[in-house]
Amino acid sequence: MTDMQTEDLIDEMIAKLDSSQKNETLLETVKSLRNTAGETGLSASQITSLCKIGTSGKFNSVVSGQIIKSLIPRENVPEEAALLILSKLCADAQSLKVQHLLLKWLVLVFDLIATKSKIHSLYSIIFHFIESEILCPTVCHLLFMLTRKCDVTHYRISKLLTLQKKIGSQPYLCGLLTVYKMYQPSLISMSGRHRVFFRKTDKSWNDIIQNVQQKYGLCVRSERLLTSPVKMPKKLTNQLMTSPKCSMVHENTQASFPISQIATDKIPMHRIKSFQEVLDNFSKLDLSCQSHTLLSSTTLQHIVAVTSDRTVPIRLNFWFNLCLRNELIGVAGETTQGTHLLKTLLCFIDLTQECPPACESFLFRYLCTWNGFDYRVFILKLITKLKVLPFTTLQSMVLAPLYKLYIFSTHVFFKCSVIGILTELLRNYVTTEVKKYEQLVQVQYESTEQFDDARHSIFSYKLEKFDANQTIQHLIQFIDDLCVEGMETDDNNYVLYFYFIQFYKLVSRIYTDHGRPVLSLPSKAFFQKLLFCLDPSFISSLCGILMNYKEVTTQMKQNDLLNSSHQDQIKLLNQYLVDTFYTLWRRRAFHPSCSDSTVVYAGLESSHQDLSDTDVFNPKRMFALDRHPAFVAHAANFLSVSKRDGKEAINGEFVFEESFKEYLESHCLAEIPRLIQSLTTT
Amino acid sequence: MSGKNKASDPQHQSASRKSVFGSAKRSVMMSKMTPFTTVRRRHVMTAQRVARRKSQIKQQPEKVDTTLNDIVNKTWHVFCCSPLHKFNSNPKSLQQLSRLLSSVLAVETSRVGGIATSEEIGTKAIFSIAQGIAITEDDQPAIKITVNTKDRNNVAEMLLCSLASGDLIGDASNNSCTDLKEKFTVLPLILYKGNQSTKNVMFNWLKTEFDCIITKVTFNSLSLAWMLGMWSCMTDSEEACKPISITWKIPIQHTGLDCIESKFEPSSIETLWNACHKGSDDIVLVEEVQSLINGLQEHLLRHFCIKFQALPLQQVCFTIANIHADGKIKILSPEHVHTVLCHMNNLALELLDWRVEKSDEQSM
Repeated sequence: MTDMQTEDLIDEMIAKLDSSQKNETLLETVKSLRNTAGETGLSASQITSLCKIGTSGKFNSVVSGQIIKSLIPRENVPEEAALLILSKLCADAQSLKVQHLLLKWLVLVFDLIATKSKIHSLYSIIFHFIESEILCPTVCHLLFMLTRKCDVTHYRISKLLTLQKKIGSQPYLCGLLTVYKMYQPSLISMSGRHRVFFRKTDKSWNDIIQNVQQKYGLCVRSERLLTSPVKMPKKLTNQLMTSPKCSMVHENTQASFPISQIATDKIPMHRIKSFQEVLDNFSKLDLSCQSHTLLSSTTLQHIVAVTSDRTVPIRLNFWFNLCLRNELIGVAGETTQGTHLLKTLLCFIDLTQECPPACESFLFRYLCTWNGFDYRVFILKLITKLKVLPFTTLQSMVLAPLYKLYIFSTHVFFKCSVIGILTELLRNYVTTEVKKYEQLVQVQYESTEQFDDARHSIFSYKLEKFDANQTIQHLIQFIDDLCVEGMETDDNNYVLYFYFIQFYKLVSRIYTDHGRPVLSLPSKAFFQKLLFCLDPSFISSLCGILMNYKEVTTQMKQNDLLNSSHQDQIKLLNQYLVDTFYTLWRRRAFHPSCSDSTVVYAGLESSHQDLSDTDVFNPKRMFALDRHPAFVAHAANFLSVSKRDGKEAINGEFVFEESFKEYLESHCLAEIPRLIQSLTTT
Repeated sequence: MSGKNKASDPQHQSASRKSVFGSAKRSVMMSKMTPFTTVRRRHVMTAQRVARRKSQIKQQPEKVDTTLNDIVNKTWHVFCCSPLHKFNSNPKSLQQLSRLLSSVLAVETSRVGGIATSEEIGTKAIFSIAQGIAITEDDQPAIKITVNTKDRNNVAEMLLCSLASGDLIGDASNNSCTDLKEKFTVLPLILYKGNQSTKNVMFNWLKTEFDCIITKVTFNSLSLAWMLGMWSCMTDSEEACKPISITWKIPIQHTGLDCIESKFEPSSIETLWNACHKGSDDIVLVEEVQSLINGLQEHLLRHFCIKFQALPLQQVCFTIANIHADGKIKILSPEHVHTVLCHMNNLALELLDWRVEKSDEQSM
């Protein structure tokens, strides 16, 4: 039978019970209902409706008893059902036996009741049932589970003690008194030892419930565990936990009140659900519970960023420190906890824009034995978030292990991601980190006022003094080396080229975009490979990069930022520009026709000096725009699109025309005419 | 000799000026081969040597011996604990904490009662101050927690201590640091003896109550080698020297052989150590330690044809203590309780202060 069918069957039976009057069919229906429920359990709504029927009082106690016995929950028990039962108990409509059974059922399914706050508000009413001799043991058990600190009053204690005098020191009374004593040790003194307070009488009933729960309930529960974000440790949610600072205790006593009505001056963090609530209750937040609970939502993470309680980031840092160590260092392979931790960490860093010191030292350690595979996405992402370090530290702790992996990796994709994240790191440095570092250093070393850097950084730490621009310069140099190595080992892979170009686009604009006087040119090998590569868009990008450098140097010159150390770079830039110009435009490749200060043609001499300028095989114009291997197709296409004679390709004069420039621009190669124009006009 | 000590003092100062709150210089070094760190050199800290170096030494009360004797000859598990937030060690709040932890333990007992494990969780916890463990004035007094069952059976003992780590907590000159010192109690070393379920309850409670994080301290081969170098020549005045035993673990399973134990005469180890160890008595360098262990391995290779370089160390036992790689220690000599605990304390602090500096050229 499928689940749907069973469901319908049960519904049908419940409907029959609801309407039925006759005795013969009634007993059979009840019996089969009990059997089916024992196998598959009842859904929440079925439980509620069956509770209504069972407590309605229209059946005799035997039938009612059977109905109650078939209340086997599949998932959880709705609170309404429990409330209904309690109110019927108060109405005294049933026989004592049924009442007892109902209470027993409540005790059995107590852990499965969805919410208990309303039941809890009936505490004093339930308490009155202890007067009844028969109900007393079960009521005591129910109260035992329900009691919280606020329930322990003088009145109730004295009531229990008088009862104890009357009926003797019964184990169930002692059980309840023990709980009371636990909360108010000063009010009760107790002797007498009982190992078991509450005897289990309905073992078979309990077993059925457990079985059904195991079949259906457990899978629901485990699903819930998987999908829930970082929560407080499960132990804390138990309401009997008595630690006064633990925020979950607040939850139980105050969960039903809206935040604005919480009387105490401290609001537990986990009650905060929206950013508005953070703003409204900012000064009243209770930050004394476990700090890593702040990581569970982005709303709470804001608190870390702005709180004046400086212990919070420190506690958080300790937590990160030891957790990262326990979950990741020395643990081989990937684990779900590790992934989760790294995700949380990244989310936190994204929000606060600050890398906790613990994360930095974790990376240092992790990288030295990293295989380049475990948690790749996260580790690479973390590297981009590092704060500015002296280059020697950065080199030996981060770049050296990365370099090793880069060189020995056979995957182009990995190489691409390494170049990608280092570019990202550089971008992060020039956009925010260096500025932040300089501000902090100023506060720590030069400011005369009280040392207080909390305004500038969440995790305050003493900084070393070093030249941050130097770090940037060296980092660029390092990535440049990686590019050259990558070009050679990976057989000119164009995907890799794309990442190199992205990197140089960033480098060439550092001064214009971020105002850092850093001038670092690509190495000769890189320039050479790009100038003669087979993809027109790369050549166009190269021209764009050279243009950027040209602008940067003119601007730096205007601002008097160029000094003698830059002379070499400027000389090299000029050589690059001249070589590009001579090769692509002036048709003067190779010695002796090329410029004297050439880089690419150094030592290369053309022997075909006697050929005329228009000759197809003339090496001098082999790489001009109309003959360059990357542009031949474009030249041919241009001629055919503009419906011109193919013979024009021989002298190639068309490249000087305005329409060819427009053609290049329309094919996203606008950088080439721009560079050429800027060089011809100057 | 004294002149030499003075000369090395400024260096010592700068080497130990790390701080758990992260404001001083980095000093932990890392080898290139493993993510686990070590330092370049260590001071062998006996109580007398600490006394010689520090000016402010705690006046020890009379009954120190009983506390120390309590520690001796028991197997302790070593843990490291991050600074406790809002912990107060005055007698009144200790009493309150005792009550609080007792009630938590009682709840746990009633909860797991149904599943009925063989392990018994105690119900009565007592916090007290263990005199005589803290050496200097800067140190927090050590806290001792004992857990008893109703039948007064002792199920667990726990010691939270801090030894000679005063200057590691932060610059006293720095205002913000003193501010933090008030809010945090630094007791980095936890020694625990007792059953597992009680431990879980107690640790969870500590974690939630004081927002700290507790983690096990384990000893890798290098840290065991450190201890071998530092302590193998130490003797107890009352007890005779027993042979030094070194146990090596076989890292492959199902070989029919779990570990290899080798025993040495203390005198021969001493000879070897004297050959490796140069310079002052109480400063040990990582290279010396490495050459001692290499010497031993070579000796064993010559005699048994087993390459001990490939085997991790599992346990070292000598006159003053037995140390197991799992983080279990047993101190055998009351004289040297401070020596061992100081070192454990330093290891715990190294775990907390997790920063590293760039690898040394000489690193291993």
